[in-house]
Amino acid sequence: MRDAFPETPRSLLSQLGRGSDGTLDHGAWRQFFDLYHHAIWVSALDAFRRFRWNRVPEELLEEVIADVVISFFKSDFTYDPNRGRFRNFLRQLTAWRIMDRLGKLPKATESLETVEETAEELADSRLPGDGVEAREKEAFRAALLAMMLEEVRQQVDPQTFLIFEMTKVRGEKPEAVAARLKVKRNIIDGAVHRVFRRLQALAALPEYQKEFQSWNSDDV
Amino acid sequence: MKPTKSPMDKLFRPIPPLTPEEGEAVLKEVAEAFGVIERMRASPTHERIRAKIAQRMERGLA
Repeated sequence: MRDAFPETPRSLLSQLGRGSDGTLDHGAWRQFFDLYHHAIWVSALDAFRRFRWNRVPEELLEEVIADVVISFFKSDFTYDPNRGRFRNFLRQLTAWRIMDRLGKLPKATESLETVEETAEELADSRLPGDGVEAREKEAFRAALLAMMLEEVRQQVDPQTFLIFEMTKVRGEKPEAVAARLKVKRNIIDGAVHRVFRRLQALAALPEYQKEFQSWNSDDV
Repeated sequence: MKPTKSPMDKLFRPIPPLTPEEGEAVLKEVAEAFGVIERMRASPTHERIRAKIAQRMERGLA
């Protein structure tokens, strides 16, 4: 399968936020934010709940999300695919930024009484039965699949991806898409097949394999 | 009894290979995930946070 395509030297996952020379690319934060906004949001809610914050002011949540995205680009704590899963890295980063924010709140805040755990403990501990963990897994799963599709978008010609988007994401009938784009019906099937094969090739990459394993394990 | 592999399991562990129906199920799930991210991207909250980040980046706080 992988012989069918040129070898991808580094996956989009390992390149997030970095230029072709491997240095941080500050313009790339938008892509990272677009893909991981939802996952960070759920992850932050989960972490807040472990601090016994069952209700988080929206503004505080938004500030934390912004903090996470910014620190992803400025921090020396950068993601190294060889050292672990991206999901765990991002959860850790989110926990730290929440610790920072909570530390800046007035000491009179009752919720601060619980802010004594280390960030590591925070990232590893769980509250049973709150259902957030499952939501968090789903959010990271969606981000990963969307990232893979984003990577496919960069590998195929625009029409191929447009056909995929129209038929699969928007649910338009293949016949209608063929008519709208003025192409033969078999072009539609061919385009979807190409996207699928690219996805298969990406799924074989070690970074994506590692992230995929995190969906199916209890290691959160 | 061994649990049955889901189509997505088989995308990442493609032995045995996916059937056309399973391939279709994988594409559906990937497309749904993409749709979730796209909707999030179009939300006012997303725009608000994005602007906040951009502003802080420009101010050199990053």
